[in-house]
Amino acid sequence: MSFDDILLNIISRIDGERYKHAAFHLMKGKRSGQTLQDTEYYRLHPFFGMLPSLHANDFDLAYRRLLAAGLIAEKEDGTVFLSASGKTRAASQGPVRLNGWSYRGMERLFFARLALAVQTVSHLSAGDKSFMPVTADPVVQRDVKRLFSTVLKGKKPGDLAWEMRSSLEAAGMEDDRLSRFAARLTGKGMSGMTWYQLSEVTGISEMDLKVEWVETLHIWLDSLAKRPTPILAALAKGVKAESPLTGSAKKTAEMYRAGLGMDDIAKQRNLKMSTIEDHFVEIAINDPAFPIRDFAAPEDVKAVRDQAARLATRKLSVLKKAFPGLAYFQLRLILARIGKEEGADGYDDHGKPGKPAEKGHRI
Amino acid sequence: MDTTITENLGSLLKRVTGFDEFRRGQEEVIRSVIQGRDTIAVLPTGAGKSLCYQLPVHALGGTVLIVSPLLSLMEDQVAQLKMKGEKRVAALNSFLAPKERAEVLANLGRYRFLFTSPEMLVQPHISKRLKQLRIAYIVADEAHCISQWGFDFRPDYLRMREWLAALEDRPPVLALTATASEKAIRDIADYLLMRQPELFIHTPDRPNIAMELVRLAGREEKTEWILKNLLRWQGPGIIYVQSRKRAEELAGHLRNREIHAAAFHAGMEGEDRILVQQQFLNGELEWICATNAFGMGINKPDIRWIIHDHLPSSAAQYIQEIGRAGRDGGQSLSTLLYSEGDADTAAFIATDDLPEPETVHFIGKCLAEGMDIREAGELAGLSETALRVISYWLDRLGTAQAAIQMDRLAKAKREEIQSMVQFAEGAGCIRSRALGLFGYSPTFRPAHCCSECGLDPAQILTVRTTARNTAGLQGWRERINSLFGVSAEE
Ligand SMILES: [Zn+2]
Repeated sequence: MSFDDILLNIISRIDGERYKHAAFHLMKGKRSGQTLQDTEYYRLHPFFGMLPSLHANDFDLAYRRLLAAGLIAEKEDGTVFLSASGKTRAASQGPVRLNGWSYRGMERLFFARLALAVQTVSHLSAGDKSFMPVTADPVVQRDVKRLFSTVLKGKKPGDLAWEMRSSLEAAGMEDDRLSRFAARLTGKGMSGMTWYQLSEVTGISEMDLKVEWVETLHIWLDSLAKRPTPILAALAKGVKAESPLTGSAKKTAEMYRAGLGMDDIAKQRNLKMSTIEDHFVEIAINDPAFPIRDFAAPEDVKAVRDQAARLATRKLSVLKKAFPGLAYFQLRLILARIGKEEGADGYDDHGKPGKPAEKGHRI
Repeated sequence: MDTTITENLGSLLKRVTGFDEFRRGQEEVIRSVIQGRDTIAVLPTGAGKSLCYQLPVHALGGTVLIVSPLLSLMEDQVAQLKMKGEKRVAALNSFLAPKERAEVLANLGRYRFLFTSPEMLVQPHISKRLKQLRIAYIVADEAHCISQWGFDFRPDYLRMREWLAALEDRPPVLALTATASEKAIRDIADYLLMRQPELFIHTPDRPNIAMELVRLAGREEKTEWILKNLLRWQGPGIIYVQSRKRAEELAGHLRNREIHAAAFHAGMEGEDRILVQQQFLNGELEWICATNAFGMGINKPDIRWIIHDHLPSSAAQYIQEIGRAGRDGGQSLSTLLYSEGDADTAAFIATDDLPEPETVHFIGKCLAEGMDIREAGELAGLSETALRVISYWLDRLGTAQAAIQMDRLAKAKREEIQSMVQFAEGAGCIRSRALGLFGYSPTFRPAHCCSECGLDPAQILTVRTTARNTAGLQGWRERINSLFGVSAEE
């Protein structure tokens, strides 16, 4: 899927309720309460953190292309929505195969390890012990070095070649896509191509190539998890997010479970109260056993839910008007719990007509 | 000092590196370091500078602390040492993950070579750990960067002085650089608190690099000249350009003519920058069109030609960049393409990062009002480098003097460019005049000296034989197989 199509897909999900920044922060994987909440509310998991080093300029260019093509438009308040033609285009899109929520940019680590392992095996098998590593990251270098004394020990170059070929074969991707993917790999006497060079050879924009590359990694990693092979599984170790919580929120959750109140946690951790609130929203989103009753009365919870369903909105400002007696924090928590209780699996799609169904994400 | 050690430098060299002989200039420096003297060594590029800091520790034991102002350079040196089989080497820099850093810190004593950056050095907890080490000697690499007069001034480097000053029993310091003016050498000795340093200064003359000066009317003529000549003669080579845009533009022109070329600049992703270097080392690329972000740490011995598409902002920068040609000792060529407008552009770029005195006053005022320096810098629209320069001088001199200092620095930069303009517009042997900018003269006149002494590029360059065709996209199975050197059936 092209970058523009991805952006259109994201906008189809936040249709009329968010500004363009929401899509930008989502793609960059910003760990703020707002972005995590949006991800949950609008089922944006596939796109979370898909392009951590996305430049605002590149994003704006794509956004303006969609505006100019009449696929999207902005309301007076600046929120963005799909036009009729945008809806048609979004509905005709193939399934989203990204899985950003699971990997959160860590697919890059898998690729860096793979690229260095391939380069090392390639050089060693040609009898060349000194070469300039394709990654300068000392952590990746050490990871790969360790593999040469464990899983790669005694392996023949053909073994890694075979694993890569059969695993990619099994992942069911198009040959052209995989050729573009393999072109980034470096070996003895054959360097990988830069994005610029790859773009010149294929006629595909650098941006679209990068999106395709991330998607390829997600598809491959998902497939690899089901059919692991020894070397590749070792290269992919730790790449998938174990806990859906960010590191800082995890710590807050532990302290809360240990009996500390929000104020104590803020004080002990020397964090702002708003940060701790963000953590609690994140926990409410991710922890099936989150005790919402500690934060809001059951009747308030029910009233807010009903109102949100009736107005078909998850906009805080709208709900705050209806419930002036509740704090924003309480509203956020209640919204975070929608679909979480009463036996719901948490991933039912509250989509509106015209919203493409979303596939393939899991925590 | 142990005289047997100093007498037996030859056998030490043999034992550690397998080489039989030192290259010119190395032995004196190594001896001075082993004798515990503060040492400044100015050795031309390709003279084997790194051996000067790598060998003495094998005689002295303990840890060498190498302070390097450039992260990329540091990574290169660590990689090269590891390539040579040295295991006891680590880099302590901001690239490290916190866990990684803790691990390096916990094992400091294990390392023979410890690389770090000036910023790291002054962090209290790191500084404390370093002081507990048995440091054999301290190396200031690319020491010209410490000089405010140098083209590569890194304000952070000045922090090394504070760190040295706080050491009770300071180990000897070795300052290494390829190019330094007299002024810069004085700065180095001063900022590194050296005590009667031994000076080993070797002429930056590289007799195997012929020097050519071509005066052209402007940018278009330069492009034409480059295309005409590069279609006729072969590289590999580097074209140094002023801007990212120019790098892309020239690389595009060359590719359109079936010449394998790529741009290289700081705006590219790190992975792509490595790939370009990789391709250049491999011979898959013939030309690199680069801003001055390219070169430090690049170790390609057979670069035959360096072309300057713009006027370098100082003699030191010029000499350093052309010095990347012919490290294998083979005959090479450097060409400076000069047009009249170049001086203004060079002056603009060189002083672009230097804050105006008014800006210093403004920042000083903001700070006095309790504003954070980052915030003040953002208000003033300063680059990161500029902000570091200001912050350093404000700390030490106060607002008024810091503002005066900015004027002084700007003036010095303009003077350096002026002397480059005179060089480019003047007449007479180019080699003599280039070296003259440093106070040297050529040791002898090589057969292929310079375009003023009479130079026939045809005698130096190799005629381009065939246009190489660009490789298309390989099928993925085929590529994986050839990466591992296996046939399809395996
Ligand atoms: Zn001459």
